Amino acid sequence: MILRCTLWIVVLFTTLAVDSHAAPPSKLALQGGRIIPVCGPEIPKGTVLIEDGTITAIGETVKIPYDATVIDVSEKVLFPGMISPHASQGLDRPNENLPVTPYLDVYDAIDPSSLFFEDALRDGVLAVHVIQGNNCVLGGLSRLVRPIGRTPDEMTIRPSLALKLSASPKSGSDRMQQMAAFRETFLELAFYLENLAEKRYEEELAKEKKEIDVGPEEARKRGAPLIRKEDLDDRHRNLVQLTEGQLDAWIYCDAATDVGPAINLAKEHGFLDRSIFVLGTEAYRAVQELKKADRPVVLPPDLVHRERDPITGELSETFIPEVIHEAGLLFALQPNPDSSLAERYLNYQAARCVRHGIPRQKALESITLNPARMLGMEDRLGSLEVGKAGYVVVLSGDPLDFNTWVEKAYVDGILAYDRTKDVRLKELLDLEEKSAEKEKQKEQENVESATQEEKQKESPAETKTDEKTGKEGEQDSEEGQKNEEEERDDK
Amino acid sequence: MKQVRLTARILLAATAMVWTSLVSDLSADSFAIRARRILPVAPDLPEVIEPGVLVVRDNRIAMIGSDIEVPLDLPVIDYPDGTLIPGLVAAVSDLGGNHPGDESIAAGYRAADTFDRYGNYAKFLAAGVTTVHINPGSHRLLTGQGAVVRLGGPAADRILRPAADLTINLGPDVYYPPQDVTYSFPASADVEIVPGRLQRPSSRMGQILGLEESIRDALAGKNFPEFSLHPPALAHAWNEKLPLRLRADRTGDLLAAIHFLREHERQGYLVGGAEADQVADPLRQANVPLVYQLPGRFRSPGSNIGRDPEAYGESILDFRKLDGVEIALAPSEAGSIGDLRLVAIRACGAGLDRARALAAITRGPARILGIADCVGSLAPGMDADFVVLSGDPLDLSAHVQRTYIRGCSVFEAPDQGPLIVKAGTIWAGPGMEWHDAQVLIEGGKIVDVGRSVPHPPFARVIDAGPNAFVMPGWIDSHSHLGLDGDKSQIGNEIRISQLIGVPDVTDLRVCRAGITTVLMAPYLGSGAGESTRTAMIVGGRIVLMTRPASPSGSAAPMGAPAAAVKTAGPRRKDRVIRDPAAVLLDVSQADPLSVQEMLAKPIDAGQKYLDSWTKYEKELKEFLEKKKDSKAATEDTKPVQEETKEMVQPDPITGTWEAVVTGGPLPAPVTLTLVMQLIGTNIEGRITHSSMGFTGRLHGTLTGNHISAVFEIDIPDITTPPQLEADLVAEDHCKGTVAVMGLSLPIEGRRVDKKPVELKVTQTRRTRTKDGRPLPPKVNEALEPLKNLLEKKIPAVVKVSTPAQIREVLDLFVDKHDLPLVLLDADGAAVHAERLAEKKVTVIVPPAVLQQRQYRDYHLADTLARQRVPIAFQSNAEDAARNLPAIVMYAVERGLDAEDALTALTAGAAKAMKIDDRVGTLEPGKDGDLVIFSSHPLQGPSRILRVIVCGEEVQP
Repeated sequence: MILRCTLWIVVLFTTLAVDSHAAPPSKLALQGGRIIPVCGPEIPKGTVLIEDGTITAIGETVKIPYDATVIDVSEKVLFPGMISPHASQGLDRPNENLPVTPYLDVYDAIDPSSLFFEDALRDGVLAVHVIQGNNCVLGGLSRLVRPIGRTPDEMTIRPSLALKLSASPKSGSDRMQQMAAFRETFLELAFYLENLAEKRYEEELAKEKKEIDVGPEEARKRGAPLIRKEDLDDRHRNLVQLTEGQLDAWIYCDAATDVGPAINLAKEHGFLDRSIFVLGTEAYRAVQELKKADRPVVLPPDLVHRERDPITGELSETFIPEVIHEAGLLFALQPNPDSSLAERYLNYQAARCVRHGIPRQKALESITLNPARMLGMEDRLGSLEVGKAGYVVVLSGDPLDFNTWVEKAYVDGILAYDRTKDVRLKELLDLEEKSAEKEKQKEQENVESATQEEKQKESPAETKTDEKTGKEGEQDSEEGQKNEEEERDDK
Repeated sequence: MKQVRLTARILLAATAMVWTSLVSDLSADSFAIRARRILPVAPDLPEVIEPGVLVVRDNRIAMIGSDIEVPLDLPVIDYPDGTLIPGLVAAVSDLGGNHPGDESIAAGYRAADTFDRYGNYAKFLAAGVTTVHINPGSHRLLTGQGAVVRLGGPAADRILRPAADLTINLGPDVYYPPQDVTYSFPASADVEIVPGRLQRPSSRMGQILGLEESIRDALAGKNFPEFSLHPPALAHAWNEKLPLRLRADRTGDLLAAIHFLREHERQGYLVGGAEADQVADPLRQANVPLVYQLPGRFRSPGSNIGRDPEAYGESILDFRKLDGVEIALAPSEAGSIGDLRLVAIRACGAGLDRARALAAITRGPARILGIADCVGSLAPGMDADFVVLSGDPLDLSAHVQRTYIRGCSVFEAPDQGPLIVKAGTIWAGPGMEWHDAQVLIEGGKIVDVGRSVPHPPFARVIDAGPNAFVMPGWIDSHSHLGLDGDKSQIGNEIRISQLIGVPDVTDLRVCRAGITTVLMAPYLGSGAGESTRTAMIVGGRIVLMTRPASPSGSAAPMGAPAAAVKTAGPRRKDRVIRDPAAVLLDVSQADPLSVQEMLAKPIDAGQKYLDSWTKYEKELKEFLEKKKDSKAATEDTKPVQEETKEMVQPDPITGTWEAVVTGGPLPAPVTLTLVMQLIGTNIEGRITHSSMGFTGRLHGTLTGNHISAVFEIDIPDITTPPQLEADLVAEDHCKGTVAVMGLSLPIEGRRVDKKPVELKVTQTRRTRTKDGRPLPPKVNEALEPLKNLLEKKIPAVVKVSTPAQIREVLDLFVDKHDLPLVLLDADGAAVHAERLAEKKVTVIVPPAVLQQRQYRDYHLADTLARQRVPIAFQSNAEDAARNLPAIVMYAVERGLDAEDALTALTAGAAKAMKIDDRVGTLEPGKDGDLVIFSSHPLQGPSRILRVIVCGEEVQP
């Protein structure tokens, strides 16, 4: 039984893997579809040409090379691959127990076999920013990955992108301790660097066989430029990169009151211009402070904030993107992959924004171009234009229509997803179909049996064998077992 | 020349516009507030400023005083009953909470970090608290740096002092802190696991030692064994000379704290101080202020102490011993800062004088926390943090009406809150007079009246003063307010109360004269000219009353329903007390001998209508009981009844008629086909109109040559059946009028066929539903008022004049039918005074009250009242009703007892009109309509101070 189950999983993944890693056609033309490039006006009927993973031509009339594989996508919509800006789901667990862990890297925890990535593909999310969860003080390095590949290396689009910070208290802690931890971390960093500088100066002098000739103040000053990258230990290397400009900071602010301290922290240590603020539902109220800082924000998956008046008990609701949009801030939307509701679809989140009066263009950007900008990848991702990577989703209709599904997904020009070959989805839909059929059959049987009884029961055994989809009849058949396993997997 | 002038004017206008825009910009956070009294709690200002004006400019107080001229550019907020005090300052709060760290000495924790700058602190603002100290914890020896914050206003301004002090706690609570553990990184074979570090203190000696030691180490730059934030933070705070906040309760700890401060020559203060009276002298000598935490809690009884004689802090300090020590008050650790005023009141009871108690929750804590330069008192230059209270701050029943922080309104009590009126005299009704009493009005209704009433949260209080006289709103028992001189009659399609809406200028004029309720009556027709109007109102509500007994009938009684309405109120729903409230009848012009006959008809018609309803109700009751018994609804299979009428011989009526209706609003003559049959003197038939496509039933009577019939047609707009009145002018030819929708249209009919038509009358109106439930009779708006009268729900108000008329009316209404009766005008009432008094028939005395009898003046009101006849007053006018008080004053001057006059204006009139369930007295359950006079309104000089309708003050 277990063996069979494992076997099935292996078979399944190999099929997917084979799909995604079949040698990509070097030239691919997606012809005749409605193109929504996001960066420019729509092309009602056009072609996207992808050569060696990069878009080389796009437009109504594109000269297709003779050796290109042409795929007809007429009646379909071509849309840039959507980007999940802030996800800790690809990790085996989102957080570390210790509060300050800048030496960690999500690389060590990314699970390529996680169903999360498969779901992302199915939902048209072709780039995922995998980052530590919010329950931390100062977390590890994040990484931008594509949801295909057998190893984290194969998946990686951009490694070591940002450090995760949380201005909101880690569980079991409070805001005093949270901020004290930050102060301690950066104070300790300064203390460490001073000592290191002194040591380095001493070392340099020792090379020239000289004794230290100045006071510690001066020695630290002179030693500071002598610090090499390899001198830094694990604990401090990434922190130095953060303060010196090689790493971005993604700072989580659960409540509005956390926004001010977060901005101050970033400003004080010189990474405000590389900070992205990830907001909780209540944090939008600090919109004035955010506006002053003028940094991009990632909105919470739950786009509506509900609040009760403490005196009257009246409930009021605020649609968060509306407030952020009015303030003119660059924002990205987050899906909620743990939700069984429609919130798990990024395009649904964007559609909700349009429904609340945000212009369609802004809503589309908030799931494609804006996260690409925040991740520093706007030259490769986020829109369909010449020079960008071939991250294309083929949709059955308008991206903001809820009846739309993903037909195909191309990652770097590789066909990474094909709905017709989506075994799991097929089984899921088949199951539904089958159960519907079963109902029908039962009804028919009832009628039949009634007539049969009248005809004095010809052969009751026959009806049993007919009942192929019925649970009892299915127990022995292989197929039935497969179905069951798959259901379990989905869960 | 002219052009130049024009340009100059335009320029001037432009400058003026620029100027005004500038001014309005400046006054964005600027305003003036007027209050009954201000308690500034400032050293250079008087204790009480009464009345007070406070001018706020740019978040700060610009001026304060009693007779300040408010700058013209500032808006003025008026709180005529409010008391202004500085926003309360809480020197202790639990908003910070204890930090979760293990360190016994942790100067790096900052309470400011834990404050939610976007939090909604309405609960504390509603208690008047505007400024709060938050501390990083009271569970360790040195928990960190405290902060002072504002509870409202823009988030960026909320933190007043991010590092206000270094918080030190002394006493058994901080003994035996947990071991300070540092986690090794990375935990591997070559990195040793450091055992947890033991921390001080474990005794009273250890706590001061621990402090001294850590301060010395921090100043020396020691930061071992692991790098920690706290020693450098402590060194920094110590070098910055942050004030020390020392929490200590027991004598030993208090003395140690005082000693520590003196030793290190530090600024600081003590918090707690349960045994402070033991160390009063050292406190005074060292000049150390004390934030005294009052023991006990207000919101729960707390735990039992038992017999422990050592238990401290359970009795309140004797404040008399602490003279000369600067004191602030705070609730205990278990209390809430929302109880700050309660704390002050309790401390006041324990010997702290009033002024010091108030200062101890405002300026005192502000000084101790080092923020007295901006909050804690109301003086020019200070932040405009203040609270509007409904009474004295040390009065338990006072409530916060509004709270301001830096000139921004951060809390306002709900709009429709309860209202309390206090006055020297409250005349609640005849024989119900209270002195030094209060009325509580909630939700527009009176909830309580008495020497003391509940003061629910956010209640507004009007303190009218010891001379004030509060009584129910006055009732004008016959008025035409709102008719705007319109003397036409109203049909039954609309009710008279629909004429009123939001109170207009005339309504308010009357209301401000103290008259809160009027009987809104249509003008009663009088004189010969009205007979033509009779025809106009046929089909109206009073159709049955006006039908003349004979074609050449004499003056008919006119009548109409009247409504009881209020002269003010937010919505129509609140303004209409009852509609109809009375049936108005006029027999003042009639021959006394025909009075009974005239009035009998409407009464009979009403009785018939009432009977149909009584029958229905009885049937319904039976049906419901039956249904309850059987529990199974039985299908009523009874077929629809069909009646077949027999054919009869030809006569002047029977046959088919074609009738033409002309005139009125009809664009063209309308031809109707009437198929009629005469059965005895009754006419039965059918009416059809081919093009408009309606058919209906017709029934009526033939009296001599006069046909009168009713058309029962089912057209939604026509609620009253059209009425045909015609005379047979020749054979097969009739002429008359048809009354429809209040119009009277000429009709002329000719018989086209004498053949009797067999009528198969199908009863279209079923009497029961399918399941056998009886259907109610059709509502006849015209008869509804009469139905109410016959049910004794509303009275008949009969306008009479002579004694003979009064006698007839009394015979009919009181003796024969036993109906509620009120006489209007009734000049001759004095003759029947005895009978009126016995039967308790109220007389609405005429507005011109002076009468003559046997060449001598006499006052009808006085005469009747003296013989115990209930009376009421009327204006018989629209907004001239505002003079009713003068009319009543005149009556009193003529001898009427003032008490009787007040009764006639309130409870008496309400009882007569049967609206005494809503108005007339100040009793629980009645409407909150009252008038506040400066003194008794009918005894001497007096004026109206305020009028309140439905619990809301009527603004002048």
